[in-house]
Amino acid sequence: MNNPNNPLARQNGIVVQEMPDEVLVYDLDSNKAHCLNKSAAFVWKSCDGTNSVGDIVKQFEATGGGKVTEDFVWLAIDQLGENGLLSNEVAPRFQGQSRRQVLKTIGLASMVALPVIASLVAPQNALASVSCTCTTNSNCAGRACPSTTNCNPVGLCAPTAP
Amino acid sequence: MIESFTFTFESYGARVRLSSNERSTLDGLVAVARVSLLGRVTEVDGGEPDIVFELNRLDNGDIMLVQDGTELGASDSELKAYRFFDSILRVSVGEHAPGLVFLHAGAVGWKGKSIIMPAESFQGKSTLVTELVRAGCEYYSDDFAVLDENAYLRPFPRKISRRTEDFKTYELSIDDIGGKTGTAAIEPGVVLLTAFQEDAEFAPIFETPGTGVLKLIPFTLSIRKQPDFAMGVLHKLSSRAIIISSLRGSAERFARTLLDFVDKNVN
Repeated sequence: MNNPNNPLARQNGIVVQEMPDEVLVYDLDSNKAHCLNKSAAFVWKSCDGTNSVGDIVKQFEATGGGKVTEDFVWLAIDQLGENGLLSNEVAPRFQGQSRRQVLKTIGLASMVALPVIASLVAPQNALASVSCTCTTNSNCAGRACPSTTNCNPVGLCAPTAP
Repeated sequence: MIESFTFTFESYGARVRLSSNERSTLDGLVAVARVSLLGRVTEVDGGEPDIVFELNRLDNGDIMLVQDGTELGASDSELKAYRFFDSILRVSVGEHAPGLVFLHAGAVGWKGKSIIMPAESFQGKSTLVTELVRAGCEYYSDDFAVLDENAYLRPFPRKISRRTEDFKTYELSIDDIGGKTGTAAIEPGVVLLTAFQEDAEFAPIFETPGTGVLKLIPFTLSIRKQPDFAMGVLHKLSSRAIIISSLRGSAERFARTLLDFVDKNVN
């Protein structure tokens, strides 16, 4: 039975692509893409609202993932929560500690690849990310072009040729 | 009442409406669209457009480009306005094209497999594509790698756009460089995430399929408009292609190095 204190993976408003050792999740609300490594993906899939953190530890070990601690699973849950991949609020375990500190503590005690979620926001403006053409100087602001302030006479966000 | 001239067309499955308060300006837009989209402009009657562009002459003589009701900028230069429209039209069609994913990337074919090189503007995509074509690759695009639902690369062979060091622009045709344009859809081979750095040596890092897809997202035009389809195609691409990252030195020298790598690892 679901226990509101147990983490529950988000099911709605996401696109999921399963890969052999990773899971990709695209969040349709935030337009953010996440790549969960094998450990993070296992924990995420185990967050069904019935499994406690202790249960997930046991399942991880039972499926040959290797010996892990509850902190290991919490590290994944904290990242899942931060990235909006849980549908319930789970109080963060490592609040106030830097990620570096946490990784050091858990990493030293673990022989298993730590759960990692890499994330990236999809560009809001497709044109800005692929083109340096412009009609006015203001078109150049915020673009990865040779100039962010000058629309030159041939319509490029670039310095004006002498 | 201000008169409005319109032209509605379909290109790569996306429906676009152009309008202007001047007949001659509309004709100019249509002409630019035909070149920009490689002639794949089919006039259609009615229907809701996916994208609407307006290029209107203002009272002060400037021309204002508007997309879907949002003013993108006014200019006293027709050249700038049409050039900007040319870019934004391709991007917009790429965002909306059903059944296709447009990646901002240079793309060539080598022994029946694709080599796709995503990069931001001014990162040397066209230079590298030119050198690869000179080295024997088939030309697919220096602008967008167009992928179908199976992540096969389809040709989008615009003229190669080059720039001088002082930002003057010119175009090269494939004939100018003695190359050949690919016509068939080809299966995934290599995706190369690269940037130029003086004297850099090729040191490829193999990306996992997941991190590879993550790194391709910034170059995927339809990621926000069609995330489900785009993610599916990127997944197929990443499961069939090798995705590598490496800095590169001069394109001329690097082209041969890359092809040797592809021969060893893909074909």
